[in-house]
Amino acid sequence: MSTAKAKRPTSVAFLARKSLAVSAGLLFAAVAVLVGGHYWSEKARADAAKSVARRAAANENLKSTEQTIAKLDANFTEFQRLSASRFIGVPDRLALLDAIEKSSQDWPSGLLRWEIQAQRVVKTIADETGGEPLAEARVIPMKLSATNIQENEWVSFLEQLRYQGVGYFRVDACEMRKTSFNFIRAAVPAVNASCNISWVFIVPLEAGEAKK
Amino acid sequence: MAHIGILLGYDTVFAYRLTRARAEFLKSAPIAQLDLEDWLKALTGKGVRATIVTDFLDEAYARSPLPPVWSPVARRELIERRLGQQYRGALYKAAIVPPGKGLKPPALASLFSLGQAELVATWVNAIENQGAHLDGIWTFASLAAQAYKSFTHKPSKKGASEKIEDSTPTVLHVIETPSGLRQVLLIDGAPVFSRLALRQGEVIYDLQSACAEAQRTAQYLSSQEWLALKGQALATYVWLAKPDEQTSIPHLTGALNVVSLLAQPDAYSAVLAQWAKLPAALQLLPAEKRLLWRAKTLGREAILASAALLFGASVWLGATAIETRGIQQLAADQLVEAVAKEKKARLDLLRASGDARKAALAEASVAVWKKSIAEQPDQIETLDLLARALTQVPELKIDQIRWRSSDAWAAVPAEQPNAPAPTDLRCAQPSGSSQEPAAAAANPNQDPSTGVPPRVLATLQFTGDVNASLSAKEAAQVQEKFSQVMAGERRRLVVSQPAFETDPNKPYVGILGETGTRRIEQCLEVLDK
Repeated sequence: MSTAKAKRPTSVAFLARKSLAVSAGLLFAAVAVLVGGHYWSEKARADAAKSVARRAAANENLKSTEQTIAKLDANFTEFQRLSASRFIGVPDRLALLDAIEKSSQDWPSGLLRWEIQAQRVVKTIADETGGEPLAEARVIPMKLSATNIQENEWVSFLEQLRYQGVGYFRVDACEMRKTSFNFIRAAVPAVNASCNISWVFIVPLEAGEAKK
Repeated sequence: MAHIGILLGYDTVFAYRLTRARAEFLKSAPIAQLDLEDWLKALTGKGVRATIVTDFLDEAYARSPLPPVWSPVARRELIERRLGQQYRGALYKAAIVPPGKGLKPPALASLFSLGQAELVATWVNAIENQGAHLDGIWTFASLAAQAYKSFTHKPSKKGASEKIEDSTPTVLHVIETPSGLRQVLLIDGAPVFSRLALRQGEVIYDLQSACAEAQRTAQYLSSQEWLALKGQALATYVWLAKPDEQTSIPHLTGALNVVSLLAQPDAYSAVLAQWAKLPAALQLLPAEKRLLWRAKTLGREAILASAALLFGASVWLGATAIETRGIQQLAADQLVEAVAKEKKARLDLLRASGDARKAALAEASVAVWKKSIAEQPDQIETLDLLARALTQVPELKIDQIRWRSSDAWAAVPAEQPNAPAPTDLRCAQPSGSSQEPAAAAANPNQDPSTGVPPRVLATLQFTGDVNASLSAKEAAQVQEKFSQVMAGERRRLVVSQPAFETDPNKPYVGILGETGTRRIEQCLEVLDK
């Protein structure tokens, strides 16, 4: 019995336990290196992917900003053009009459009748973000009529008036009625024409200025 | 850790430095006059590994046919029992078992016992006294068998023409060593028998003398039933220190067929280089030391494998670190670039919209101009169209034209931004017509995607006469032609009073043969889409 107890273990694994322990340690270290390296690598890749995504988003943002700036620039350019062509600000009544006169200068005197009405506000333009009034869109209604003229003369008159550079107008209503007048001994076909037009313009409001 | 190979020859001992694939000669000395301790002191020491290889004359082999035992455990027990019975009291013994053919179990074992056990034990004790680790005891025959396998399974460095194809199960490997001529019988690669023919004086073997010696061995093997050639020549591989290169191979002599002749000036070195590949079964260490040897071998191999894995992992980690640093650098660069772009975008936007009120005013003004002026229906273009139509249809005379534009300032409901602004501008429908909604629904200009009818931007209403002398049919044709000319995209012609009513749903009266005035009343709607 005591001999059996004193007998040393004869297993190969037991005899090689120290080396196997060292081997296990090395193996553990190798696995730790592999796992750690893999984790580190994957984390770096994930970070890189995030950076790429952020750069792409920044690119998009920059592109969008550039588009916004381009739109703003275009708006400013157009606004300056409109300012120069009398869309901004109240048109001068004398200038309007002068334009009518120039457009109908080939007609006999007294043929064209005009009637300018008081300006009126048609729309208040507010800032979309703050809601603060920025400007007012206003119109000056004008009635124009002439008798015994050719219809092409009337059309030509309206077209010339459009390019006089005193402002912009809309043609709200027109009527041409067939008529005739005696010229020497013949009855000449003609029309009696009348149009209602509106001179459209923008009047900027000062900051804090409300519509009275 | 240094590894020394000590080869005990017949009368001389040789020392080699061993690596896994090479054996480098260190020194030699005659055994008889050797001071063992002094000789070993210079070679070994604490921690040094030492392997003993014997090239003795005294080796005993016993042929032991095996019954068909399929269980490896039972077969091993049987062989161990036979080995113990055969060499009772022998210290260094082993059983050599050629592998079975196919699925059959091995049919033969060679029971081996090493002579000069006292001499080997002396060397073992001396090595252990030096503090070195005894790493195994092998016979030269075992190493020769491994060398045969290695040399016959790979082409020689001298050229592919010297490649030896091994297809013979039983071969005789004859090797000239400093002790003499070692002849090893290999059955399926296992060294089942070996014999050393002692060198007589300073004799140098040539192929003829080597074959003559091998013939005697073959005769002995045949008489002891090791060989059953049945008329076939025994394939023989010969390594000589200085062979006659004029000899043509294969060389048939008696019962031998020399299929290969190699020059091997230091056969011990060539054979010792095979130590790492030897199977454990050929180890001659006593049982207890063999267990220790197996434990050390296992531990060493485990550490080596783990260290190799760790090394590989470290190399991979290094490569990954380089790659990862590259990725991190790229990520950092891209992050810096992204931050710079974000900053630039913010600054650009701030700079551009420095006066937000002015920007909003500009935007709103442009929008108002577009809506009220730029996009207003072109009255002159519409009048031109009417003029062209009247030119093409001279039978029609217009006496009144009315133009009306829609209200550009009508508010669009916020909840329906795409809906048209409310307007009552529309051509008057023909009297008695009850199909206005249906007409609107059937309008070809209606947007199918939204279902919202197009908005009427302006109307051009005109009245006139058709030549009264025209017949009803001609009047209908005039009406149709005029309608065709006036029709087009973004326009709709509404006929309130036609030159001739062709609609079967409406009544129409007249006096046959009588011509009167034919009034027309029509209206053109200018649409926004």
